[in-house]
Amino acid sequence: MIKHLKNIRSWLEQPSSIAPLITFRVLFGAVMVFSIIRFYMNGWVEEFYISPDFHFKFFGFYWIEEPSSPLMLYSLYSLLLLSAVGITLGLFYRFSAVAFFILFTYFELLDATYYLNHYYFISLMAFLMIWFPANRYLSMDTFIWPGIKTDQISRWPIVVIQLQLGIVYFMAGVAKLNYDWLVNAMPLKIWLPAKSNLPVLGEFLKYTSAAYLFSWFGAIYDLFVPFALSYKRTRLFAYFAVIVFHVTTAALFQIGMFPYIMIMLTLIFFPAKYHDKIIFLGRRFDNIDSQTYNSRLPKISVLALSVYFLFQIVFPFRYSLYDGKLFWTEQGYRFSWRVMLMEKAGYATFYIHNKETGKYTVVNNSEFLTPFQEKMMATQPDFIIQYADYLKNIYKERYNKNDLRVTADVYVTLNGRRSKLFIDPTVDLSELKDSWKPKQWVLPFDNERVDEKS
Amino acid sequence: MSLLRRVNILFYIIIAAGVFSCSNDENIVDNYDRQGLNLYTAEEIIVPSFENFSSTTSLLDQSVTTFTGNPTVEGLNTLRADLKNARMSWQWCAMYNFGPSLNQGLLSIVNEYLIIESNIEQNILNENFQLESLAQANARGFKAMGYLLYGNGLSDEEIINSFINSPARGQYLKAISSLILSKASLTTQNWASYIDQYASESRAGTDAGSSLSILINEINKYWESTTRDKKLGIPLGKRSEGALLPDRTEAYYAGYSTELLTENITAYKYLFEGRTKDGVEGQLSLSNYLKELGATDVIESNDLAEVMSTNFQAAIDQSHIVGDPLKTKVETNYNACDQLYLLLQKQIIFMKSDMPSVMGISISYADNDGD
Repeated sequence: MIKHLKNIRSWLEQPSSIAPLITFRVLFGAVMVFSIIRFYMNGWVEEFYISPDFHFKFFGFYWIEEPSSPLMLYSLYSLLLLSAVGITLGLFYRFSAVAFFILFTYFELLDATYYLNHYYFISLMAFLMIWFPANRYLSMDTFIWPGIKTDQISRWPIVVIQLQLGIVYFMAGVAKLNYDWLVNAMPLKIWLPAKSNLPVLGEFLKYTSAAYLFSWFGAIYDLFVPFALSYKRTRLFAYFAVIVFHVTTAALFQIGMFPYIMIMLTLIFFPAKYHDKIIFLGRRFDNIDSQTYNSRLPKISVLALSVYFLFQIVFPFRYSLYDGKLFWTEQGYRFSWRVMLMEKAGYATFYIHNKETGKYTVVNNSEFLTPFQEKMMATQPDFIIQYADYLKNIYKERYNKNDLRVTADVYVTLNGRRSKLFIDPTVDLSELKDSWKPKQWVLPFDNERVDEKS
Repeated sequence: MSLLRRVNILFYIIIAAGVFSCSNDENIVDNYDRQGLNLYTAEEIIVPSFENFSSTTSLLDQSVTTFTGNPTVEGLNTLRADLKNARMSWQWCAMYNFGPSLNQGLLSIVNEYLIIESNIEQNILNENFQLESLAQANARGFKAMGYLLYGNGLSDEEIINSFINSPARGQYLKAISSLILSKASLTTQNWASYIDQYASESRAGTDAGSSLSILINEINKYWESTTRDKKLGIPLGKRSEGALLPDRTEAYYAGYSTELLTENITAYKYLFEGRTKDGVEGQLSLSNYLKELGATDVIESNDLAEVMSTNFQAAIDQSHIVGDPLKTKVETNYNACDQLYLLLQKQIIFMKSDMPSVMGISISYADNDGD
């Protein structure tokens, strides 16, 4: 075992051109700068973080607080932008990378409503980048500290990036191996015909076979593309597939920057010679001393990286420890590269009961939540109890009473099936606390309680 | 094998799949013409509703002039009938609160549900008011007209005398009706050009900002906030720990709130089924679109279109059981009212959750990687 680790270590320490890492740093930084500006220009800083009265949180991160004022929030947002610029230019790189990781993650943790797998991916990538010597060429830092300039590094940062990207694809592929996706072609059977007004492609999207073709091609693509990109003879074809796949998804779905990020970052799979041509402009070894940056890996790093990647591979499977259908209960759904897997919508009506009189009030959700928050809340059990807790506090004050119960009628439709009762309507939701334990108050997926209220 | 050949093979596979699917007619899911649906909905349902509303408010405005010029019993009866007609026709366009209607702020001009009598009396005394300003929202609209024309249980003579004794009262009534008329006509006029945008190819999709997404979102918003809550839920105490609020009913003074509600539900049903106001069913409708999309057999037996039509009808039938005047029925016929409320509540689950989900409608511009 020790010997194996040593072998892995010496392999990871082999010298390699810095060029792929530099390409990666510049593209990652630049696409982040663009994303951060785009997010602001879309008005989302205001709409997502300032306007709402209430913010949903991730389990374990309830302590994350909103900035004290909009000015503070915009200042932090500006710092986020600056740190991304810092990464792109390689200016105060280590500091910029740390700041970017912390700030980006902070904004993601501020409100779980807007959770996207690719935000999680960026947080992970930003964390990894802190440890890379990515400022040792083509950076402002090399002007300030010329001594750090080098054209060779050890191989490990590039391997780590490839592995991380590979896991994202592969696990997304594994997640697609489910009955609804493969046998029912759901949810693409809903989403593709909805785009039938698109030019050229639209004509084709009307047909059920298109949904099956896209479903199966998508699953095969995700499962195999990391390997095809790693293997010399298939690499060009695989990259062509990367472009076709992501451009198609960008045209069809509202998934923001993710396709473009992946198209750019997968360039890391191309061997150094391609990157050399761009980064060194054929001037390699001319102007700088050919020295390999001594990035010997401490023993602990190999172990740390192994633990990190083991976690990445195991964590998405935590859902198998819970009973019930994953897409329904969403226990173990997030942080698992489950992308575009379900068409889920719900309607939640909350009741505030006065325990004394037995009377109740029906909550007007639009008073407290934005339409987007309301939509996301209605299908996610942990959001439902966070909201119930919030409502209890609001109505305690409003009615000046302490003994209130909060219940809800929640109906959810999953992948085109008729809405069914989602949450036990008799449970006082404000008494519940989120945990790793199974959420017994989420009714089973096969419950027959369809619109029974009448 | 060269790269080029591999790419070629991929193309053949795609073309073969395309040919295969084109030749198999049973596979068609969405040969649905969303642009056509938008055009039909606008031309045959929405615009005629606004046109009808414009003409009924125009008649109403004329009757106001006649009556206030010479307050008589016949004049009062005609005016009351015209008021009711205008309010009935409003039920057919109130939920289209987007585009021209939203720009004119029609909802708050035409029909506020919370009226403050003292504000109205004060305006009449002062004769100095900006009826169009938001501050006057509780002193204008149909319900304010109802207050002036019916009062709190006043006899016909007392009403007529109140206008004879105070010309300012007549002027105020006229101010309300002409404001409604001018906004209604502007909205109707503006629809003539908005229709091109509404039925354009670029807005024939299902994303946020497409006509279908706007329509469905707005009719849902109105159903939740008004059809379900303002017209019934709030008077029924759903927002006030069960305390009944009869004075919040739509036609509190005139006493035909339930009739207005029935009319509104009918308008929704007709929109859903693609019927013109005469009940003539067209080929293009939300209902037919659902059927076409195969919401009948997506996975399980799910005849959503039928279920929704049935539920609309059940709500209409139940509203007949409730009857008028709603301000007393909320107390004397509470269970029937509650039953109706539950039907309206059940319907919003289908309208806001199941239907847009099957149609793939987005409600937000936000990035989303899969619900």
